[in-house]
Amino acid sequence: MRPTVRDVMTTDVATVRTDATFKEIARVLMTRQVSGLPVVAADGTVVGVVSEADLLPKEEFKSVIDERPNLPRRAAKVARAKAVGATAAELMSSPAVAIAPDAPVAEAARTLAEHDIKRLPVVVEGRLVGVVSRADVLKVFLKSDAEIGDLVMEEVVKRCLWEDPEFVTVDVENGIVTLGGTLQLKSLIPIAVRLTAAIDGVVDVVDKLTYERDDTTAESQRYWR
Amino acid sequence: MWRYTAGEIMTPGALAVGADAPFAAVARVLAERHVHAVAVLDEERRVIGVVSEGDLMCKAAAKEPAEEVSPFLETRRRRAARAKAAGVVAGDLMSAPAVTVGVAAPVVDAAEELAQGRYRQLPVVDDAGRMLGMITRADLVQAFALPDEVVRAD
Repeated sequence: MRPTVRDVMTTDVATVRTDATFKEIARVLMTRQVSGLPVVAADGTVVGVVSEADLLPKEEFKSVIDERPNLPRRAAKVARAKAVGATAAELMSSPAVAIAPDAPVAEAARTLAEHDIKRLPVVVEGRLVGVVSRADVLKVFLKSDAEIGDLVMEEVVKRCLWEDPEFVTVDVENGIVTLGGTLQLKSLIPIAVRLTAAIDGVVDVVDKLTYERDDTTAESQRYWR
Repeated sequence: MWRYTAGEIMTPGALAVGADAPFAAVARVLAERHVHAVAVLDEERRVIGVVSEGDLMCKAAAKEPAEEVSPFLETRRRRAARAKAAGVVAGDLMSAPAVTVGVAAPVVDAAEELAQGRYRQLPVVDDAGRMLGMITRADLVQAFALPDEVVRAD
């Protein structure tokens, strides 16, 4: 039910071999309009990722800047020659942080955020099957308000809470869901809110639910075994 | 490439939103325009922040319960991520104040921020702070790696 990496990943992936030159990498990045590429060894396994940032010579920029306002031309030429001579194997970040195609999309999002990276190779036994990027992960937020409303009604109200949809309202505006109406038990309200927030495309949840019976007091729990 | 100004290698055009733009609208702009970030502008079209895919991702990550961490042990970065996960409009989500670069500034001014800083793009502004374009890592890689193929923006 929950979308997995396979549902949102890109399968038409540009890659480079470990011996790709600086210029080849730059050209593939430019023509494919991507900001990073998996680096693939001769046996087809993913060994790293090379990105725009890896092509920019960090220390060299600094030395160029430090030498200003004198013309930085000479230092820049040296920096450039050094960077341009490198291959993918030398420039890439390795080992690649990768993910499996059956992992939940939210896990991909968390991995991307924690490692502060823009894309994850999707691998099965070390072989590349796709790439999942930040943009792919954010696809879950491209659902229309109507789609989100239907999902909340089906997945949360009917499937999880077993509530009668007659007594619950679900209004969605710009991905923000307002839950209204009456649930049978007070204890179900925070559960409804949490389940709704976990639905794809939901940006926030506004709780306007009321309840028929308060089952959260000691009195009401006395008979529970 | 060192002779170029920021204005010459930037991607021209002010792709931007207001601080009150809803989360879903920002996500849609990023997807439809195939960009990683947009600037957030005030009424005078001055840049007040930048909202990127990274800023929106916290909410996607929050869809899966993470292990609970005591508020006392929470790192600053994790706290910021949690605040952003709760954001519903561009103003809550953006990184601010915006680091910008002047249109006539030499490329090296932008280069250091983009090469090693946490910025992947910088808004390019005129003297009054109004947005003229965005300079991205891709613009810089193109200028650095393929200097003969740079199309100079006018």
